[in-house]
Amino acid sequence: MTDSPESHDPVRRLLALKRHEVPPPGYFDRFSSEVLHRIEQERQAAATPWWQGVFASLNWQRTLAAANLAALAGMAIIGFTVVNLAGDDEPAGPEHFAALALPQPANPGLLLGSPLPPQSLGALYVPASNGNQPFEVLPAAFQTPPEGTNGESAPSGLFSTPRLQNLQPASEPRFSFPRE
Amino acid sequence: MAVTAALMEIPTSSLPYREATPGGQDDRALVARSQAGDLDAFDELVQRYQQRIYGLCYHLTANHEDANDLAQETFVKAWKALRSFKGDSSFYTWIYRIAYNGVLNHLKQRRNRTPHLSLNDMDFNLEHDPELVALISHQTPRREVNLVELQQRLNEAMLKLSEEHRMVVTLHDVQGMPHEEIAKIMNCNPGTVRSRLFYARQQLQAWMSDFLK
Repeated sequence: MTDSPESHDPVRRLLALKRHEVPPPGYFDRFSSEVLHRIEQERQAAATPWWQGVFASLNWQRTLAAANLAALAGMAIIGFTVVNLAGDDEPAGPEHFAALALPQPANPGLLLGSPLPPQSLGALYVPASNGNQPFEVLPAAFQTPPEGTNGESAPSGLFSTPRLQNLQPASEPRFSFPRE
Repeated sequence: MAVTAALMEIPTSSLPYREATPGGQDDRALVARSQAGDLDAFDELVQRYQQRIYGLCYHLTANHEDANDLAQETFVKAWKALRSFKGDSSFYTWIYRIAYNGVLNHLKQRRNRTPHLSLNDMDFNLEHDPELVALISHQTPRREVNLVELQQRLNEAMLKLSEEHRMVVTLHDVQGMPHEEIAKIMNCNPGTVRSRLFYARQQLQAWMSDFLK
């Protein structure tokens, strides 16, 4: 501190200028009423339940937009879930395996002579309606189209399955009883 | 030295602190009534201190809008905390502390922003003080410098100071508060106030040297 306090007199006098910086005329006339208004507002806010305060402070336009978006998103999620659940519960139907099936030949008869290996056990042919006849399991390679069918329903693909109404468990023929 | 010479003419009796010295006895009665929930009594306290609290906020922030918000907030906080006021210190020391802490918090939040000086919002009574204007305009070597520019430079220089130094300068040199009162408000000893004041003036004098020759 090399300077003496007296050497700061100029800056002290200059700082005195700041006393003349005052807000616009009339500002202090309404200042206290604004303060009291704020206090009243805070009192009322404290007196009302919190949920009313939240309700009152909501911006309704934004809230409605958000609610619409939420509803759409919810519907999309529900729809997606329902589709997935339905897909899981449904037995493996022809639509499900159709994509995996080999291309269907135009003439099923050609299948018998095809160089492909015999069809797997998963591709059993089950007649559509045999009345009381028990089911018969035949190797896929030796099956023939039953009478009354034009052969279109016969499975031809290696992994293809018969139509839904014809689908029977593979083990059923072994323990089956004549149907009534 | 011309500006300085002109400013020497400012009567010290015009200091706001000395104009309206806080009334201890009256304050206590008003505070007691306010603590009982009397808003009229609190309204009187607000009117009694509004200029000084606003002035403190303004000189620390150099922004009218910020000062307005901070000053209002100070009184709202004071109302809420009034029940906890035990009267160990005077009401005006207590409310100054609230204002000071509020401004400090505000300045911390604002630190990353460039301060916006709002001199256009202010009314310069200085311009309506013909005696002072005449003195400055006749004696300053830089007559082209108008008062607004001088105020602008002064406020910019003030903003370069730290909050503590700005607070001391504002309370002592602008508002005319004694060292002991400032020490109570800033929760330090009067020696610290004096050393801060000395350093702050030294800095301001260096930054404002163009205007003080």
